[in-house]
Amino acid sequence: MQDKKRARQVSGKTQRFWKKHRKLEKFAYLLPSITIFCVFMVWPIVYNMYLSTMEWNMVSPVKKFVGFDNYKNVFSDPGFLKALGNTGLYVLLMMLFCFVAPYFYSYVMGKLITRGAKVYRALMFFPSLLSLAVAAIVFMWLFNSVSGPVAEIFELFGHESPHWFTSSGYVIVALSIATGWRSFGYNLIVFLGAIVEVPIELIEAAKLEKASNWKIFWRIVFPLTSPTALYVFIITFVMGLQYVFTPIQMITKGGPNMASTNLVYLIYQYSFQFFQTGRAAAVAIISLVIFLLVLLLQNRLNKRVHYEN
Amino acid sequence: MRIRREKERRNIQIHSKGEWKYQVILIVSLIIMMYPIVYMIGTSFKTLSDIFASGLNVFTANPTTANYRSVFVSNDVLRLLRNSLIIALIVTISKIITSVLASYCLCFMNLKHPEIIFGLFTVSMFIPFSVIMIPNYLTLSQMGLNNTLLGVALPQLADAMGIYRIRQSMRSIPKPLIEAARLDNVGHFTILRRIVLPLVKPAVIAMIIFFFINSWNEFVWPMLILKREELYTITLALQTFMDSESGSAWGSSMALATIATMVPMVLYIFAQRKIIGTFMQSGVKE
Repeated sequence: MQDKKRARQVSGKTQRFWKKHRKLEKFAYLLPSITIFCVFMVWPIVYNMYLSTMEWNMVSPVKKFVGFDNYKNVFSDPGFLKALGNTGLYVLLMMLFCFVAPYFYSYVMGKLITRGAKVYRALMFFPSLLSLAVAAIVFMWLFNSVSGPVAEIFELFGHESPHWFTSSGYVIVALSIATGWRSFGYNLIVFLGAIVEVPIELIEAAKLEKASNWKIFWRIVFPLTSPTALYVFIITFVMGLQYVFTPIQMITKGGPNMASTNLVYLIYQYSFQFFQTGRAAAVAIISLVIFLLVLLLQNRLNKRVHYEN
Repeated sequence: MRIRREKERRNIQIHSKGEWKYQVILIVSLIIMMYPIVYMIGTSFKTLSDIFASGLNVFTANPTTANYRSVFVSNDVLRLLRNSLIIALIVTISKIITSVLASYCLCFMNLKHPEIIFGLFTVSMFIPFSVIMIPNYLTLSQMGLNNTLLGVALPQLADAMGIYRIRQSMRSIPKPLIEAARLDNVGHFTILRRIVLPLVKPAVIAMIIFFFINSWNEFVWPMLILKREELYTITLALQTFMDSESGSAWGSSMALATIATMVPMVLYIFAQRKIIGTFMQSGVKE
């Protein structure tokens, strides 16, 4: 009893303290998150910009200011142009596997079937629980050109399997499949969340007018789910940029002959293998600018879709 | 309830016509999607000659645990699990605390412009990791946390996604409820603990599982920070198998991959509904 009373007194005291310092209390709740964000999210961007104008090998105590030389050097580096092109390919394939495909499947599962949707959804999400490192190692064996299952399938049809990880072109496809397989489920679930909200009455009405499923998708489902589509589009873009890093690092290390490298992997190599930190920072800033441009463009397109409907 | 059932009935009438073709598409896709996982588990129980002989068949007549035994000898699996667990626990506990506190402040503490602060948090969800990778590495090296488990955890002690989801869940709590409690002179922390937390418990639990699985699966950042083998997490250890595409490591690499997957898998089996439910609400709604 006595204890309780004392406890109440103490809590009364702390309460009075907070009452006096209202602002301080708000600050105390936000402070942990804001500190982490400032130190490990905001500051790095600023510091990265600074580094991109320096010549530095990451260990030497002296950094030399070189202005925009790093950017100039990067743009005249054939390796960078290769990585840029590859990044485009990765993003394109990831859009196919993790934006178009889940959009289609979520429409089918959410509106076109009556049975089993919950089972499909639970199982198709499953690969998203795996580490990208696990996905990479499993697909390395699946695509093994001598006796992996994919090679066996090629053999069934009387073809020789391509050497997935050692021939340019194929390597990007194989790595994207591994990454896409593991990330598909997450986007599927996000899309499903939006699609189940589309009122069934609208679709029924359209069906009575004998509209095709294709038409219903474009005229009803797509306009009503476009905010979610925008969100998934952005995260898929980020995936195409950075998720593929793990399979690249684990399986090909950017090879053969830079055929599978991308911007993020190039940043890693510049900084942690060649110790050209300034260049790495410049590539990082370029990738950020590209990302922001895509964001802006997509935003504009999305707005137009809204106005048209 | 009755309305819902009625809706479902109508749904069936209208859609059941062409349904079988969609079912076929879905079942085929499902088999293709599940194959790699079944393949991974199946292969981990096969001998090497069995792997080469079995083609597409994932099952074996003579399962063996040799791969698991060899993994436990070549890699100290318990240490790998322990390292992964330490990082995942620090990250998860800290992320959930910081997210709950920040969300509460954004929702109920009468900030002047909560939407601006929230907007800044949300934007940070989309900052590509590549832009912050080098500076964060340098910061941690300067702090002397290179090659430590804490160094892996430190930049991840707060999470924008967590703030986003938990705030979303807190916003459904009627504000007058909180204001009434305030008028009764109840402190913010007590309100948070007694009123708000019980109401947002489902979202919090789902986020705990989400944070834990994400941290457990992480690869790139630990790879940059942890260079000493005794600090490797289980995902990092997978990399040691990659140098030999000859095939000798085929079975044991699948065994380690299976072990690495066990933890998220078990969590998913127990909390499947919650996880899917949270993600389904995650789309941006306006």
